[in-house]
Amino acid sequence: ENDTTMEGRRMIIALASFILFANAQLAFNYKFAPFTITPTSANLNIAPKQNDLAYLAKFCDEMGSQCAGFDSSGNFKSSVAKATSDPTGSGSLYIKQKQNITLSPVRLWPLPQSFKNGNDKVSVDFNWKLDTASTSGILQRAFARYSKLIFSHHVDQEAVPSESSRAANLNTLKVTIASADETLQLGTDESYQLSATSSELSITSKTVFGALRGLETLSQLIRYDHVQDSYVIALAPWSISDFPSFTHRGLMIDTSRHFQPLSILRRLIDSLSYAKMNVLHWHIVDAQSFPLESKKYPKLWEGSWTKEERYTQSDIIKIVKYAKDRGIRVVPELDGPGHAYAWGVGYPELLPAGWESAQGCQGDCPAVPHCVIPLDPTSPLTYPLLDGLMTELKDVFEDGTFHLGGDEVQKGCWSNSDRIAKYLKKKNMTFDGLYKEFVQKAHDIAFKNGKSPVNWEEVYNYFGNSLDKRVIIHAWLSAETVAKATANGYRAILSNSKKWYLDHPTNTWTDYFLNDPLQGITNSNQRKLVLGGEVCMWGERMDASNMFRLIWPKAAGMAERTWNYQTANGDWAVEKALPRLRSFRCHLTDRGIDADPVYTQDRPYQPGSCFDT
Amino acid sequence: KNHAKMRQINVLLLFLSLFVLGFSALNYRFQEWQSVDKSKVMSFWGRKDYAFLSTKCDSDPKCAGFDSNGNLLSSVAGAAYDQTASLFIKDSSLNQTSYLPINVWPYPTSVSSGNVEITVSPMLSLRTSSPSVILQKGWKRYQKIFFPQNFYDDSFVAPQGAKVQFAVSTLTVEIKNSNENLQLETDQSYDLEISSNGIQISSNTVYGALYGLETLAQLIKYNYNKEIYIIKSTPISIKDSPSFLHRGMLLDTSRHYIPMAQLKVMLDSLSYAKMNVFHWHIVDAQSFPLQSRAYPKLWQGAWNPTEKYTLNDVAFIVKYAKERGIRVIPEFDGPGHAWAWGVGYPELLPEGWATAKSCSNTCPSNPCNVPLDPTSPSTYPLLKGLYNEFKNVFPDQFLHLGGDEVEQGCWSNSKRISQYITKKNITLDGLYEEFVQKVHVLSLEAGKIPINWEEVFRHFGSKLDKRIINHAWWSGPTFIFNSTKAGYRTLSSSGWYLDHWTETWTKWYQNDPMALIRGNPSLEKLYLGGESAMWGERMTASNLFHLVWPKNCAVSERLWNDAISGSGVGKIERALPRLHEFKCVLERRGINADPVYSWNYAQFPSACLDS
Repeated sequence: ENDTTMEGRRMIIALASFILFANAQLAFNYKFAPFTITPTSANLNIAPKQNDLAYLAKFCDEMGSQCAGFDSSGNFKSSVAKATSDPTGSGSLYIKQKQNITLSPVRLWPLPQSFKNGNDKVSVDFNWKLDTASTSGILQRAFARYSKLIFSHHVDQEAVPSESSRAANLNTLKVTIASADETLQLGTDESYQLSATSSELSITSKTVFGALRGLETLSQLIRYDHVQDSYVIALAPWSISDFPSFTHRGLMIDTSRHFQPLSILRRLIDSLSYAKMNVLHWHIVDAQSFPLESKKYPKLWEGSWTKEERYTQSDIIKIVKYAKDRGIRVVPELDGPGHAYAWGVGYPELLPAGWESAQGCQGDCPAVPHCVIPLDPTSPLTYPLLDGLMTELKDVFEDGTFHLGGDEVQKGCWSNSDRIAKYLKKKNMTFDGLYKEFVQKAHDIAFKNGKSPVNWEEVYNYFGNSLDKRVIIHAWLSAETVAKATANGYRAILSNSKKWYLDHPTNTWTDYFLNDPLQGITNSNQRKLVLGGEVCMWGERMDASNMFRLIWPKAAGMAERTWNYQTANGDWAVEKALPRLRSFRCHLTDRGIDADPVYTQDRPYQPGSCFDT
Repeated sequence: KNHAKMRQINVLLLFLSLFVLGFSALNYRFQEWQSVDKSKVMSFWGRKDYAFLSTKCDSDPKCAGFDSNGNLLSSVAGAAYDQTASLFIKDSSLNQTSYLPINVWPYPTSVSSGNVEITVSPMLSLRTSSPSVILQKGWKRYQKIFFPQNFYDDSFVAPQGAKVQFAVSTLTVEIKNSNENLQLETDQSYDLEISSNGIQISSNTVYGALYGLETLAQLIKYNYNKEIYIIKSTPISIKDSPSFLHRGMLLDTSRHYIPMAQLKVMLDSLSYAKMNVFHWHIVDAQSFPLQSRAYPKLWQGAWNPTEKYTLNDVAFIVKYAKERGIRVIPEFDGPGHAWAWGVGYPELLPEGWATAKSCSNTCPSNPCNVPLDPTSPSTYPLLKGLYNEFKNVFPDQFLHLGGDEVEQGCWSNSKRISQYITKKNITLDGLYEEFVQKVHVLSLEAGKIPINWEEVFRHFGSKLDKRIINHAWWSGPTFIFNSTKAGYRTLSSSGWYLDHWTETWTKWYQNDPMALIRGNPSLEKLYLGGESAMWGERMTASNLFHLVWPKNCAVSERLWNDAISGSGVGKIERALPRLHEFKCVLERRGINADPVYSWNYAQFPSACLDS
């Protein structure tokens, strides 16, 4: 019994491996729908594995005709009818279906927009050379980087070339870049063409950033054959033409709730580039800490957790350069007027008088009571400081957009201040009016400094179409806001918390993959206003120890949704994507990124292959 | 009450105590919480965090401590009267205890320090007469660690403007012995002198010098306001050497494959904690990722075609480890745990094992413990070939031969085995013994001293060659007593299993493998040290580092500095701020170390030092 099980597993693995390297197809006859199972002693075997399609398929297969699926309690059902009439009514089912689908042997993530391939194998020399007319330093550094990543068993391991590697078909990568302009901004062209035949390896792009995307694709095509000791491209010849569906494909990282050291941020940027993501939204300060250096207002970083948990401006310049080297824009966020407690550590006059005892100023932050205290817009320091800060940061952060937050303003915190009360009376305005005035003045400061503001959706929800049309709306409460804002001519970014918040650890990768930035939007001009999306890694319960596990591989779901919009549409989309995602997860771990198994949080259930979990 | 401000003040105070004074009154005693009602402790956000609880207790004059249910207690008597003996007690008798003057992990054996802060130039130059490449490579690595603000990728970025006159711009390293053979007996001691006159490291071997660099790295801090690197509490004079020669970690790459990228970072991190042995549990029942040229079909036991180590990979890892002062000891476990050997060579496994009685069920996934068939004509030639193939790949003088958990029942269906034992008039246990003795001979012939898990000594005792080393994993001090008493050199991993993730570092820190041999020098000298063990059933690339760090630090300090660590009164409390600091050191260097007091998730926003 054991023997056959193990042998069966070996065969499955062997088959899966075969698929990785050869041109094979696998019939697939399971339909997947997400489970919501409460673990009980009766379903202990299933409940923890409820999202593991491969496990459930195997389990169901082993039961033969007895198993037609599982209900949402994790009980197996002996007929499809029984499974579909789930008494809990949750509609969360796992059903064995009769259809066969064909899985593609292609293992690329995100999947290119269009490609053709054949059935040959070509090999690549690990001492390959770059052939290019481009003088780009970004390209040179990327070539050196990818040479190490692709030929990891040889480059940097002082390995002696074997016979087979000397006999490789290809020893040159030809890169042609049309434009020498290396400005990286929203909308920068990232398209590329990749050709891999027995006689030629080439990447053609309009910008160097397109060439970087091509290099990443190529790095996923070239695999090391351990037995032959050579680097091979299977399914050649390849002809790929690729471009992103959306121009903004980001990850927000919160470095205020927990400080993230530079080494971790650099590795994060590396990992984003592996998924062809192109924005690091740096939520650099918040109520809990202010790690950012200001030369004009040096007391601001007295709000850092400790004197060592800080970013100097020179650190930031290096991070921005590091990110640009990988085709990633860094969009900073200075949230205001809310979430400002840490600003007041060095400059207490920025916070409203009497906030400690104000009604309706009870913050909902886990560790710092009253943490969402907003800035006092009537303080004579507030706008000069914002202006000064933006002016000194406008060149440190090269990006043309600047996130100004604007969410969760606890207006009750303003209620004890005489100055605010007098101001409101004089101006004949409400707290909302004061909030709006702040938002608009902050916008003016951004415009003056050549930046397009981005705001969390509250700003749009409060002030709607009175906002300047250059403002970009960042939805987090509801995807509908994207539809509303774009209908009114605003550009918008999606981060709806139910699907794309990485601090919601129970979300599965399918939530990330299936979430649709264009939901409810049919008009093609309106669709163009949807810039893309971001997954958000809020920092309350995230530090360096669990950051990568929380982000990967889930963020890859969004990465593909925003790079190649179509793959998540249609029937069997999840089933077709799953083997590619598993392969991408192993690709990440091979590169030292601590990506979780695809279907488990934290620990794997049992021993197994990377490609199996 | 303004909690927020208080919190800032607490962070500041902790900070002061760590960086400015290096000294602080200590009036809390922590004891391990063993049986905690989680629902009640959740009122403290689930934290068994000394720093957090002391804040909580300080703010309440009625608080004398907490019991193991997380309930606040109003008197020390009340706190002390906790049935579970798991307590957190405000204890004024500890008032005079001080923290240690410098934050280095593991703590050096001899330290004298002053109170002068000096600056160190990021252009610090190395002056040495040593031609050692290992030193040069180490220096290059540590330059990036000393001066992180001045590097972009691998290139040095000179500081802008010469705002300050740097006190120290030269590091002198003197290495007496140019022999770079790295073995158990290799001298690891070093002296480190730091003053405004300069920094000197002197050592007997290059490996001592690497430890000197690590200690120095933990002392250099960046002052963000002045944008300079500083060392506090100088002049500092350190004379340091480890209590035990063998300070290792076992990593299982069979149950889950661990990619090369993670192995390299793991070796980096071990060197940061001055650990010096990577016990590579490279194959097991579940997979055989290791390449053999002599027996190429063994590789078919890998999980799949990519989850493999080439001989070139292995040679690289050994070299990479050596450059960090780490010995690599491979393990070829046998006769048990051998299923994956049989994927390519089925003749190695006993006939009929699949249906044999008592041939399963002690591993999380089955079948796993199928032992090799000692009567197969392939078995000993293959083992002999393997040992010979790897004797130079792994230059360490030791070879771990496992020997644990042999499921003798798996042998019971084989006619050849039953004929053999009838002919020889031996039992299945006798067959196990014969295997062990034969592989000892093969290993010794290949020039390697065998190490065995404790079962081998428990079964066969003093019949074993006196050169072999016994490795405790189950019975701890009792085994260590018995094994050393019988004259064997002994290692321990009891109490230090990293896959037991709910254990806390305090329990590990108080673990005393020598409990039953202390005071007996002839036995003490046979205790070589120990290893933590990262078994791989539920460990994979994503959770490896957070399972290992910072808990592994407990082992690193227990084995480096026996006097300062262990279970004495106040030892945990004194170690804690240093451990917090070291966790942040690991984090800054890109090692994904857990918060000290919570595994898996940080409990809420906090400073690194506070978590």
